Formats: sequence, C-alpha cells, structure tokens
Amino acid sequence: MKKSKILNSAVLALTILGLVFAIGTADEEGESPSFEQPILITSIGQSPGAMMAKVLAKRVELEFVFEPTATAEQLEEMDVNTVVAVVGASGKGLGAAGLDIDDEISRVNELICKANELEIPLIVMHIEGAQRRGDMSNQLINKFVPESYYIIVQKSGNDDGLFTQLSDENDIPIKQVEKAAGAAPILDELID
Amino acid sequence: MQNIFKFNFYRRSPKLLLTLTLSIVLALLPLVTPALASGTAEPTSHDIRPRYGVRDIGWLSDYHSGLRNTPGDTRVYQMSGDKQGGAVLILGGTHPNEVASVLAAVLLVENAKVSAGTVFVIPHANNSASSYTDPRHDVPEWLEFETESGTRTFRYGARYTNPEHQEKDPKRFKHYPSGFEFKGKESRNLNRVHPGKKDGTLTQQISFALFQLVEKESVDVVIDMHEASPGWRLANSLICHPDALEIGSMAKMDMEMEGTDIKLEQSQPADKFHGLSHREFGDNTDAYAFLIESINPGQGDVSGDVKIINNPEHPLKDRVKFQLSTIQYILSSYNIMAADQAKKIEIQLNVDLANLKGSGLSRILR
Repeated sequence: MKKSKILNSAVLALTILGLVFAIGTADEEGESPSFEQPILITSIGQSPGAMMAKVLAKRVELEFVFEPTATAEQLEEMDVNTVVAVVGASGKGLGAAGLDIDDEISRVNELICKANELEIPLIVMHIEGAQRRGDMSNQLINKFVPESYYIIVQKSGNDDGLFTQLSDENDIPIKQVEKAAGAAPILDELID
Repeated sequence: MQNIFKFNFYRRSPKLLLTLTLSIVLALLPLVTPALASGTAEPTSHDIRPRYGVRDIGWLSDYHSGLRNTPGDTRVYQMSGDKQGGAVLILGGTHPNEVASVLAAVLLVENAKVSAGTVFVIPHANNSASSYTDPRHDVPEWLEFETESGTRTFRYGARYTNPEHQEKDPKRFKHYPSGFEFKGKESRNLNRVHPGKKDGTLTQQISFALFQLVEKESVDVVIDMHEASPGWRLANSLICHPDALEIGSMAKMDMEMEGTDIKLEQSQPADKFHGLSHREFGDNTDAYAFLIESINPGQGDVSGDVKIINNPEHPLKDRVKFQLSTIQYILSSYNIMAADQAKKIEIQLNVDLANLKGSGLSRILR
C-alpha cells in the first residue's frame, strides 16, 4: 500500500513535470513563429540599413523582394512569407523617397497591419550601430519594434539597452551582433 | 586738317589725354578684370613626385580648352593596368583646406600601382583654391614633412576659388542649370557648382571640365574626397548616389569587419539640393558616384594651437589612411557587384596602411 502510494506520487510528479515542460516548450514555439522565404526587405525610416540588409540577403542567398517603401497594397500582391524591416531614420532617405516622418509612420503602420492580417511574421533589424540612433530613429524603434516577432540588433546600436528593454517587455527574442555583417548567418539560420 | 587738330590737341593737353585714357580704362575694368585675372595667371604648381605607376600626366584643360592658361587648370595623373578594365576618377582638393584629401591623392600618385583598369587622380581639383590660405582661419599656410629626400611642403589651401581669380560674388548664386539658390560666395565652391557650365565662371568651368573627363574617358566610378569638422553630422561618412548605395553598403560592412566604422548616407534628393559631386555625377553621367568625409580638426571653430598633422584624436595619417582604405573598399565592392566583370579596377597601394605609425606620412612621401 505504501509502495503504491509512493509510486502514484512519483507518477503524478512526473506527469506534472511533463506538463510543465510541454507547456514551456509550447510557449517558446509560440514566441518564435517559423520564418520562411521569400522575404520582403523593407525600411522603417529610409536609412541605408535596408540596402545593407539586401547585401546580406544576397550573401546568404535568400530569396527576397527589395522594396524600401513597400505599402500594404503592395504586400497583398507579393508572394512573400516573411517581412524583414530595417529600422533607422534618415532625413536624406525620407526626402529621396518623397516622405516625411509622419508619412513613413503611417505607411509602416498599414504595412504591419496587413502583414498581421496575412499572418506574415515580422523581423526587425537595426544594423547601423550607434550612428543611426537619435530622436527620429528612437521614435520609430519604440513604435514598431514591439510589433515584431524577432529582433536583430548591432550591439553599438543597443548601448543604452533600448532594444533589450523592448525585447523583455514584449517577450520578443533578440539576437545581438558585433558587426552588421554578423546578421547574415542569423538570417540564414532563422529563415527556412 | 583733322590730324593736325588731333596732334595739337594731344600735344597741348597731355594731362587731359592721360585723364581720358585712365577714365576709359577704369570704366572698362569691371568688365575685363575677371577675364584678365583668370586668363593670364598660371595654374599653381605643387610638389608631387609620381612613380612608375603613373603612365601619363595631362591637364584638366585637355578636356575643356577654356581652362588653358587659367589658375583653374590642374594636373591629371593617369595610371593604367596591364589588364583592361573600368575607370575611376579620384578627386582630392575639391576643398583644398580639407588636406587629407590632397595628401591621399598625392600618396596614390607617388605609391600606387594599377593592375587592372585606369585610375585618374587629380590631387588639386580646385587649383585656384589651392593658391591661397583663407586668412579668416587660424591655420598654417603650409604643412611640412621631413622626408628622406628633405623637407616637403604642401599648401593648406582654402575652401573657395581664389576671389582674385573670379568675378565678384553675386548677392545670390543661382546654380546652373537648376536655378537653385545659394549664398553668393558659393559661386566659388566647386562642390556647389556641379555639373558646371562651359562658358561660366572659372569654378563652373573647372566642374564642366571634370564632367567632360568623365564622359570622354568613360569613367565608371567617381570618388570625391573631403573632410568635415569634428562633430559635423557627416564627419566620418561615405555618401553615395542612390545608384551607388548597394556598393557603398557592401564597402561599409566590409570596413566594419576590418575594424573601421564609417557612416553610410545617400545623396539628398535632386529637388532638395544641387551642385554636390555625388548627386550630379550620379545623375548626369553613367558613373557610380561617392563622397568620402574624414574628420579634420582644422575645420570649424579653430583655435590657434590646433594641430593639423599630429592632432592626438585625428592625426593626419589616420585621416589619409581612412580615405585610402575607403577607396579600396569601394573599388573591391564595385568589382564584386558591377554587372560587367570586364570593367574591374584594381589598385595596389604599395603602402602598409595598417602600420602607419608616428610620422608615417613622412616615411611614405618620396
């Protein structure tokens, strides 16, 4: 009788442990959706970072569409399974695209809404380091990074811990790289 | 009768004759002075000692005869490789007070060897601006280097074309052909007048000649070297025409991997700003256009004791190294990404940039 009680308790404990483990695993999987090709590479802020991401995507031979000013309507027409958005504000880039910061925010807002509607996951990258931080970039980072499913950031661009904080607050996986080129193997590993 | 009258008039009134002549000359002076000034002065010459890598030395006026015998004319050094390839134009001294640009160009001429393609180097793109040091800035007139062959000196030039070489600045300068307006003195700023004008001011004609060179020599890449004051938002930057941004992106990331941080920017849109080399060469020629900005502590608010050569934070050797490394990364990225692989450009600098220490420039100047 005593033996069977101990056995029962052990089975119960193992079951609970198994359940806890199963739930934990399910949560982790839920946080990191699968990212698949082809990808859309776009910009949040029109800095040259999006072009750098294009160079990286070429290096690891990802199938991609490059459209720094992609709209929600364009996304609907595209055959893509992941959006990679590179955040960084550039007055020159916005000017060249014929946009001001408000236009850019509303474009990206609509794009992300459409991506959610189409169940296309978003990866946000910041790969221009500390030089591409400032009020305008921070505004975009604070607004759009929480919408992402994965963050890749160059360490010097996260010196103040803003990306880490947004990652913690919103339970988003984050990967930090020393150099921008270090983002290439992460994209390669992350995106099927 | 008339002749006798004239003769008598002149003989009897020599003072009047002198007054009349002087009045006429003075009245015409404003019309002819700029032409005289730019038409009779010789271009400033500089101490540049090319090595065997240089195959030809020409003049910018070879591409626009209007510059001949003017202070805007300048030397064009051509280096060609044994292998056919593309062509690059490298400009130093667009603003001769940005001295790292001049020294980097001089070092190319004195040390580099081209194995593929053609390299055109102009160390003093605005040679008129090299003819004087701006007295408003408390900077040395000459930079001196003790080399193995003795003391070598390089002029610390000015940002603007020598005012004696060009007509008086207008109140407002209208860029040609856009009509975009700048302050009047910008009419003497080579990096505001591109793409120039064939029959324009001396500065516009210098620009026009550079564009003629790019067209005639089918140049694929234009690199304009500059410096900026510490703290200026474009200090330590590579600025690319939008068509050249992919090459610039690759160059930036490769430089970063080697431990050199450089900010990447693209040209302002054509409807927002005019006259800059990277914008205008990119828009008006088939070349990929770039502008490099190193940091010059001699620019901006300068106190009398500023050290231009051995500045502890930004020594000239580091700035020259930055310029030359960026050129090499631009060209290696261009070689990878250019659609036509038969247009490769390969330069060997023959200088160990990584080990430029102490008075490094003195060691590698001839």
